[in-house]
Formats: sequence, C-alpha cells, structure tokens
Amino acid sequence: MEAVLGREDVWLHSVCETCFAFCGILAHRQDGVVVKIEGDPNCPASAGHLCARGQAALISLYDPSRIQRPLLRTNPEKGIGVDPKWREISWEQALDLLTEKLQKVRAEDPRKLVIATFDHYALGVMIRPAWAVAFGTPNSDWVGYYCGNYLHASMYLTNGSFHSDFDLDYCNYAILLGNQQGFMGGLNANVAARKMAEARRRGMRLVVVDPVGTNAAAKADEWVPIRPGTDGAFILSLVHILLNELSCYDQEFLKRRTNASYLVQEDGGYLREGPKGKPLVWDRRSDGAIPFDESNADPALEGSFVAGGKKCRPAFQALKDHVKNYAPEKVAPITTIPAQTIRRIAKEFGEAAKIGSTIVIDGKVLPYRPVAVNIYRGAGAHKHGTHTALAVQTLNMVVGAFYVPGGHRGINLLGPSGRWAPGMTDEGLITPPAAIGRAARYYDFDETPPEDLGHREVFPISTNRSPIYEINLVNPKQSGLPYTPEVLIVCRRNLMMCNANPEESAKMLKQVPFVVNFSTHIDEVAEMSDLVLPDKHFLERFDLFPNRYTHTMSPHTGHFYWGIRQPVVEKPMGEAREWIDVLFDVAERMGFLEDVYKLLNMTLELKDEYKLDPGARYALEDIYDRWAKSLFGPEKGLAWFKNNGYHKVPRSVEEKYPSPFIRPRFPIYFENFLRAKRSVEKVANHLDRKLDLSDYQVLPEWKPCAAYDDVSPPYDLFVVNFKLPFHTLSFTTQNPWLSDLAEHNPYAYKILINAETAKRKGVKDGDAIWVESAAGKVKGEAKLTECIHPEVVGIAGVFGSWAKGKPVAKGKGVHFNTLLPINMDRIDPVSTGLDSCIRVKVSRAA
Amino acid sequence: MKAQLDISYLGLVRNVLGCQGEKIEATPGLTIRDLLVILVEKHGEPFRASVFKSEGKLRSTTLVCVNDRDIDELEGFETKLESGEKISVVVGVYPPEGG
Repeated sequence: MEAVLGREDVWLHSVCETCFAFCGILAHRQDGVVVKIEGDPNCPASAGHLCARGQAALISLYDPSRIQRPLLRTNPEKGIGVDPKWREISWEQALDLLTEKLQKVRAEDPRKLVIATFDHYALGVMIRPAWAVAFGTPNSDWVGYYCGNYLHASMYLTNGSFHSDFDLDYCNYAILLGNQQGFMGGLNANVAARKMAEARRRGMRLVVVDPVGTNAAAKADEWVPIRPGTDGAFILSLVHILLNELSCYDQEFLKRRTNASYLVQEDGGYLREGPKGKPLVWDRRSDGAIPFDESNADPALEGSFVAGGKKCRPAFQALKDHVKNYAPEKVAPITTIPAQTIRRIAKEFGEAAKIGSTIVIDGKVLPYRPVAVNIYRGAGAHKHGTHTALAVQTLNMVVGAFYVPGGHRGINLLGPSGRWAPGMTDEGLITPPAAIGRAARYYDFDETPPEDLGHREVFPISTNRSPIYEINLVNPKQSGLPYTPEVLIVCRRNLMMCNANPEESAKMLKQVPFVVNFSTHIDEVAEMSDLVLPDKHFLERFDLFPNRYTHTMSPHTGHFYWGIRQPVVEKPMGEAREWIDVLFDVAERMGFLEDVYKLLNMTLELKDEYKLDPGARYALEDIYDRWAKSLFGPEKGLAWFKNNGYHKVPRSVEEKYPSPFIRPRFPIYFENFLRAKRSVEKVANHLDRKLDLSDYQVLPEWKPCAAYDDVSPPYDLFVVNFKLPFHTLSFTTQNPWLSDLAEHNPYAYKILINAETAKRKGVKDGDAIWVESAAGKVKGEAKLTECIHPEVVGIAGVFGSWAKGKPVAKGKGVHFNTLLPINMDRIDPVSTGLDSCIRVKVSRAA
Repeated sequence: MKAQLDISYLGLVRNVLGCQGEKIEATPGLTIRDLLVILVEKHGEPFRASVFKSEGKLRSTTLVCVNDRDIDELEGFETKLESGEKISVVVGVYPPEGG
C-alpha cells in the first residue's frame, strides 16, 4: 500500500467478471473508494485493455439497490409481479433455515437438491467437483441456455476442447458464422479485438454470415445476410463445391490427421479387423485393407472397394457423395444466399487455404492454412445446431486448417510443459485431455437409467442439458426419476430472464418448495424465491486462478497464465457474503465439510504438504494459499499473487499449433453417433420414452427447424437475438453507465426491422410495435434499417427487466426470450440446445 | 500379514451404500482391479451399477483415487495397493461443462 500525504492511494490486481473473458484488471482505490478500473498490462487475457463493461463495473459495486441483508419471503403466493413481502433476518437465522431444509432433503434423497448457477469459477472449482458431490446431488450443472451448448460437445468431439477459436495471427480469410469473435465477443475478447484489427489491417478478408448486420458485419469486407437456421446448408454447400467442383482439399491432412481414409460399410459402421478390431483403410500400395495405423500405408481417400466380402468406401468418399445434396442452386433458395455468392466464397476460401504450403515459426516447419470458419451461438442455437457445428468443423478440416498456423483451433489441447495431452480412442481418434474435458469422451456410453434432471445418459453428446432440467422440473412425474426436487439454490443465474418464456419459468420455479437465491439484487429470480442471501459483487470476492484452461484461456493470448481475483475494497457492501463460503459453512453445520476437503485434495491435486486436513476448518484464503503453493512452490502463495497479479508462461509452438505434434486424429466421420444412438435408445426404453434419434448420423446434415417449415399466417417473419459489445446477458443491465450507453445506441433497446419490410407493414421508424410468437409477445420501438435480413426482426441482448429491485434496468429494452417456447420439439435432440429460431408476426401497437 | 486399506465412498455411490467408508484387510500387493472385485462381491448390484458402466469399465463419472491421485495417472486398474493407503471411490465427477 502506498501512502500519499497520509491518504490511501493504491492499485490492486484483480480479475473482471462482467463477461466470460475474465480480463486481468487494476483497480485504483483512494481513501477506501474505488475510483478507476483499467486493464492489467501484465495479464495476457487483457494485455492492459478493458472494455466498457469492465470499466463500468465500479459503479455497480456501489449500487444502492444492492441487497444488504438476508431476506425471508413471508407471502406464500408466488408469481411475476407478486410482492414477496420480505422480512429482513440475520445470517444466523438464514443459515439455520437453509441448513434445516438441506438436512431434510439430504436425509431423504440428496438428489432432491438442485443448483443453478452461471458462476463458472465457483461451479467449476468448488461446487461441481466438491461441494455437490459431497452433498450427494448430481443436479448441479443447470447453467445457461444462452451460450453454445449445441456447440461445445461438437468441439470436444472434433478438436478435443470446449471452444471454437481461430488463429488471428496468421489467418487471411475468416468466415464468422453467427458470431462476433474479434468484435468484443468470444474468447479473450480484448486481445481478440486487437488481433482482429491487426489482421484486417494486414489484409485478412472477413466475411460475416448473419441475419443481422452486427458490429462484426459492419466492419467486415462482406456481410452475407442469411435466413435464420440455414447456416448448415450454406456450409455444406461450401464443402460440396470444394470437394466435388474444385477438388480443393488437403489430402495429406485428411489421410494422416483424420479418419477420412477409414473404410465404412453400407450400414455406416467402420470395416474393422475382426468384430472389435481396428478400423481398416484401403492401402493403395498393397491394394488391400489394412489397419489404419499401419506404417508406410498409402490409404485411399476415394473409391469403392470390397474387403472380406463386404462393400465399403473410405469415409471421405462417403462425405463427398453426401455433400452432393448441397449444390448451390439447391441451397440458394433455402438460405437466400445467391448460388454465385456461395460459389465465390467457396473458391475464395479454398484458394486462401494455400493447401500444401508451409511456414517456419520458431525454427519449426508447419503446415500453413490461413483460413477458418468460426461458429457460435447465432448459427447454432437451432433445433439441429449440433449438425451445423459439425458441418463447420468439416469445412475447416477438409482444407487442413486445423490446429496449424492461420486455421481453426480449440484451446489448451496441450498443457504447459507437457502437463497434459489429449487422449486417443482405440480407433485412433482424439479425446479431450482429462484436465480440460474429463468424461467428455463420446465413444463409449453409459446405458444406466439417468439419475440427474439433465438426463445425462439420454443426451450423452452434450455439455449442458439445461433445457431438460426445466422440462423435467415442470413435469417431475414424467421425468422417470425416482425423486422430485425440493430445494433449489440459485446464484448468478437469471432463470427468469435467460431461459425461455418467463411465464413457463415461473411455473417451473413454483414447483420447487424452497428456492434460495444468492444475489446482489432483488432480481426476477429473487422475486420468486423463499430466501434471498446477499451475494458479494465480484470486486469484493476472492477467486484463485479464475482464468481456467477449460473456458477462458485462448492460445491467442500467447501464454498460459494464473492470476487472482481479490477484493478491491476493504469490506463488502452491507452483509454480503461469498456464496461458496456460505455453502462451506452449511457443510460444516451438516457434517460433510470433511468430504468437501477430501474431494478438493483430489480435484485440486494438492501435494502432500498442502493437503487439507479433513478434521480442520480452513478459510477460503487458506485453501487458495495451499493451492497456489502446491502448484508453484512456497514462494508463490496467495500473498505473491495479491501483490503481483499474474504468473504467466509463454506457449511453445507445439502448444499453439499442436496438430503436427500429436498422434490422435480428428474425426471427420462420426461413426460413434451410431453407437450413441443405440445407447440412447436403450436408456429411453428404460424411461418408456420415445425420442427423435434421427440426428445421430455419421455425417452432418442440414435439416429445417420448426420455424423454417412453419409458414402459416400470420407468423410471417423470423425473430433473432443478437449481442452487443457492451452488455452481457441480463446482469449488466442494472449498471447505469452501461444502460446509458444502450440508451444512446440506435439499436440496443429497439426492435430492428428491415426498412422495406416495415414499409410493407405500414410501420415507421420510432413506431411502437408488437412482436408476437405462439409463446408470447413483446412491445418495443421499431428501428428501421437496411442492416437486417428482410424476413427477420432483431432484438438485442437480454433487456426488458421487470424486477422492482433493478430500477436502472426495469422497463428498458425488449425481452427476446418471452417469444421462446420450450418443449422437446424445440430443442436440438443431440445437445439439447434450445431452438431460438422462431416465427413471429409484427403489428403496430395502438 | 494383511494389508489394511482405508476406503472412502463419496458422491452418488454413498447414496446407494449408505456408508461413508470402511476399512478392509486384503492381501498385500493386490491391485485396484482386485479391490473393486472384492467391493462388488461385498456390496452387490447397487455398488456395481453405481460405479461401473459394463464389465471392467468404470462409468465416465466415476473417479477412483489412491492417496488422492486418480488411478488414470497411476497404473489404472493395475495400480498396486499397500497397507495404509487411502482409496476413494467417487461417483458424480463431471467434466467441465457449461455453455
């Protein structure tokens, strides 16, 4: 601490949490008051830069609307707009009540406890691997519907990591499909934005394919408006042109680094060496079938063969034949993108891939494939989103732009200094390293009846079955589970605003007898809760190593890094507490804290001298100190991180571009989906459920979502949701500075409608309009623009708050999710991602 | 002389067994595979169904540790056990997820 003329004047290291980039920050505190927040130059995640959300965080720290003390509901009636009639109680009373409720369910059946949170850090480090396991509930992964749950499993499957990313250092041609990576969206947003700017200055061509002319589209070389839910058809058409019209594909990559040469039979399964043997390839040297991993083989990619009396062809040939269904002339009327545009983009993409070229980086000769197509929520949040994501990966793979300079990549496939590496199936295919994707190995499936609300065994190729939680909570008797949830703990997760239609969410919440919400505000979930506990603001909180390998650390930062989120004020507001700490108190009261410690010893991999003694009691800071010292030695405990912020290690070439350096291959043909289908069918039969299993296919397909076929009047338009760079979900909407930005932005709080479409409907700029789907309707101000597809209306962010406890946010903007229905017909049958492709009608409000 | 092994049950497997752990005497040098066979024989179908997906294959959410180390990082099922070692059988350890 530095004293200036007797006054406090300090800068403190911490980590932002206004989005999921987790940028390192420096907070300037004078006389106990935080007066400025800046990016920490020593943090690879921010490189000293910080967006509007991070800089505005300090005003939310001092928000007078924050909850100060625990609140108990006294009105048993619950509903939207119903006054809970709060009574302030002490923490002691609150803990007594919470402990009593939890003791009851733990004694009856621990699975009756459900935890819903989007607090990635607490969930990933403390709750899911330790507290919830020790309690005995599997129901702790009810996270968001708003991110990429259709996508993450596709990434685990194809690139062995949680994310989709690409190499902006060398990329020369990028297609952003329904996402704004590099425009304050996606991983490590501040670093990516600068790298995007540098890449564009260098001459990288950027094509944005999106129904909305987003910020990314505005700065792109080309904006290609596309009909919602048809992205997969567009991408598969590009693949078709590359394979069947231009013969432009990376043979060496496909032969050596993928399963493209594996022989497949007419039923879709591999031709194997014996019933459970290795997959075979057709060796052109010996003119026969040999195991895929035999050295000196020259595997065929094309042709058809007979081996062992069975007809077969290489997987690549199957792909080539399959994508013939996606001729541009057929795809143009589906996507509304002209056939000549599709052909041109395919040609540009193929040429820019520079197939066969190499580049020398740090003395290593590497394949150079400076093209990538990147996908996120916008393109995939549809009924068949998994297939769209797999189509995107197929396109990246056919040109060899996969974990090499310039191309697509996941994150952290190889750990620092060999700490971890991907696994490999018997078929030679990649699985995620245990450190970043334990159990996300989609080749061998559990066929036991599900125990959790997400129905893990029914949806085995998914990272987030959150919509299934909701469906099962609304109809617990139909869930097939031997228990009914009784206690719901919610923290940093707005189940009312960020799910589907709020009336449906309210019905669900009313089903749970006791809802406890850790929250900074009486938000829309708190209004439906029985007990509300004041949660710390992130600037009041301790989290060690919030930048996790799994979720928030991209190779384009150039480093691996470990930092600290520490309180930047002496005391939290009112009686706010950190929810992990509260749950540890509850565990102690209930007598299972020692099990939490046992689990932390395992999951944090603490060295012997730093292990937690199950019989002792530790403050969170003590646990973090042990963890830091266990990883980095006695000199780098918590005190070191408080003073220095980040410890960072540069990434080697191998860690940035692992494809040439690892053995496992990347799947371009998904034979494991056939096994998944059989397994899911068995589990569904256990539950006496009929499920649509038709999406378990070996090759990606475009299929229309419900809205595409639903052309019945008067629902003649689509509605889509898009992100703004200065708001995150619903939780930044109460920030007055960010609200001010939104009010001055011409699009944020409005409903975007194409000027020609509006004219046809008699709608003028500034008119109040209704947008109505079969699920609900919203009212807002029309913003006429050329920057939206003529068949589409656009609604930004998660605005339209209604909670009285959020006076800044209340009544501003339009709530998109009100328009979304939720049922089994409206989810992606593989990933369970909620279909947000919806038909609406638009009318002038009286 | 018999090996004394200290076994903890955590997570969903504890729900079905109803006990936190137990001490077992076994032949020195036995492997994790041998121990799991003993535990299946002792606790029967509830234990087997909770821990295994099929013969010889753990469920993807099962974690078996020796002295807090995942057997995947040791010798897997062939990891040898010595007297005084602590074995944890945990069910319900999920991959980092979200989205």
